[in-house]
Amino acid sequence: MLSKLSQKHYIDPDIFAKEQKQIFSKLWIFAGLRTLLSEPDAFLTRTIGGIPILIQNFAGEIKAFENQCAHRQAPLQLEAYGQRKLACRYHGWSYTDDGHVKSIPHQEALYHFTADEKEKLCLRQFAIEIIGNLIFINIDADPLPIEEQFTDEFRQQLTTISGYFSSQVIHTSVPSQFNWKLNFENVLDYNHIPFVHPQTFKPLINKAAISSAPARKALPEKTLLSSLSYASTMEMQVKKWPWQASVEGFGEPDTFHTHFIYPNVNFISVGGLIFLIQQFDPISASLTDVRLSLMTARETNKIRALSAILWGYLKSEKRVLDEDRALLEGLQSNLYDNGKPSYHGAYEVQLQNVAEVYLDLMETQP
Amino acid sequence: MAATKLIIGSAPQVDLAIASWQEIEPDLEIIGIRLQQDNAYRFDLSELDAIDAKRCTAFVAFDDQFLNFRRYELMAEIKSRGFKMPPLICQGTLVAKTTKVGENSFIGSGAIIDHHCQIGYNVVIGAGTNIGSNTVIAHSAWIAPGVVIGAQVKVSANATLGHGVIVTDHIEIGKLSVVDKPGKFSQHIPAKTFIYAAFDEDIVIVENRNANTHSLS
Ligand code: FES
Ligand SMILES: [Fe+2]
Repeated sequence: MLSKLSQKHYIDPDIFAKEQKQIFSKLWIFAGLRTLLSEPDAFLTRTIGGIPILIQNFAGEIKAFENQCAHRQAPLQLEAYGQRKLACRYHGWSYTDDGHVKSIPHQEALYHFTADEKEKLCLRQFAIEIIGNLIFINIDADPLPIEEQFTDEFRQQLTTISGYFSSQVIHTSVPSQFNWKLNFENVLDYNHIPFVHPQTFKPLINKAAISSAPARKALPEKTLLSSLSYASTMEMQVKKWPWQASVEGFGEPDTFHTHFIYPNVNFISVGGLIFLIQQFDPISASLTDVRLSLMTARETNKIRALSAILWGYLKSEKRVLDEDRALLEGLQSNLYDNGKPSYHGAYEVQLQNVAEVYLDLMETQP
Repeated sequence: MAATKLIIGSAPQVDLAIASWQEIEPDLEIIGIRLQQDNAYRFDLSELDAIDAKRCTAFVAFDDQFLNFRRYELMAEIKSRGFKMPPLICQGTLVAKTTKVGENSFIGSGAIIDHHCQIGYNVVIGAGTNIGSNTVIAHSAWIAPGVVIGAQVKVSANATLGHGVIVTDHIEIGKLSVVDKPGKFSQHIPAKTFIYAAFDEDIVIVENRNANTHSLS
């Protein structure tokens, strides 16, 4: 059947701007790892829904603020990851842990702010939900209740598996010339694996991923937002790594775990030993930063060569990603305004569900 | 009488080291030991059990696998058996008299190393590399052939510099970092940073030491 999305949905800058408002500024968006913010004043920065954000540990509590000084918009934290008090480098203003201006150097001589004015100078704070070691933020003033996006069962699954993360994480970002939706659809589409990854990924999977597709769903049934985020497992021959005796792995051995986290995360685990979070961070209609964070399970004994293991594994994941990227970039570059929509078969039911919810979200009146 | 030289490691590196040693000491008796790794990356070193460490010197010739950790571990293993492991400074190198070279290091043909440098143990410096004065190359680093390194540079332990890299004066390359992208580098590179031609952006390992104190739920 025809996809509900037209080619325009993947290339139009106005639709992209609307997505930033209706999806990335309304839903809970994965923002980073709790394991990296354990120390006081540890922070991370990024952009969500077009807004620069900082997430920081304030005496044990993780909070999210707009990463823009209330004075003249300088970023308060510069690096992607770091550890530093909340203060501005431009004219030295500092902030309290509730985002209010704490001190303004030379306030009396230069600024002459009244007490009232000073009180109003504060940073916008965002809602935050921490699921296990996964931090989600919502930049809407009236955030959606988290259970409408992720079921209790799914949140529990994420809490359990992410409790096994090691605190050493290798991270990079891969700028990719395609729309973010193509990548989320691609991870839902298991049927591309033998064609796009014949050498890199297919040999790892024990049985052919092709079991028969579910029957088409009854049409009038409305798809819930929370049905788009779920976990699934698959049998897989997991290679024996020399370091695996030194970590506490999650779950049954020889299992490949996938978590689809709508709208833009795919979180997988190979054997509960290696964890990879891929996020498709929208930059423009035809540009996506694919952010990769990879870690092993928590160490029980110190692994001296852990950096080398992470680096080696990231390189092999990158080879898989490059195969997808070559294909999706080719697809994207061919799209045009009045081109025909995709034509889905039964196995692509999840792509149809995603499209349905997406259109609902896009049309909801604010 | 020259002692016997054991050259231990992976095949291509062992072959290169044998040829290089024959050039500088034609009368040396050399035994090459080409190791196989099992799929847990372990080496079978049983061949060495019968060899008397007093009568031989040894050299480990191995690539940069696992950020140079495998070469490091192999060297440590051989050294613990009591072998002396002098460096291999190939023919046609120009190593200034005031420069020190550590045990088991390899300096390829045509490399030029200026005065007052310190080359740590287990370092590999490829052929034709050029290193300015007062530079420190820490142990187990790997420098590809033809790399150019300025004066007063510090290349930290286990770091790797790939083909076509130029490091300017006073720069520090952090521990375990990999710079494998041709070009000139004039800024410090922190530890555990990977700059790699196949990646558009730098890769970093972020670590939080206290995180492991959290208990599993
Ligand atoms: S812009 Fe931050 S103190 Fe001026
Ligand atoms: Fe793929």
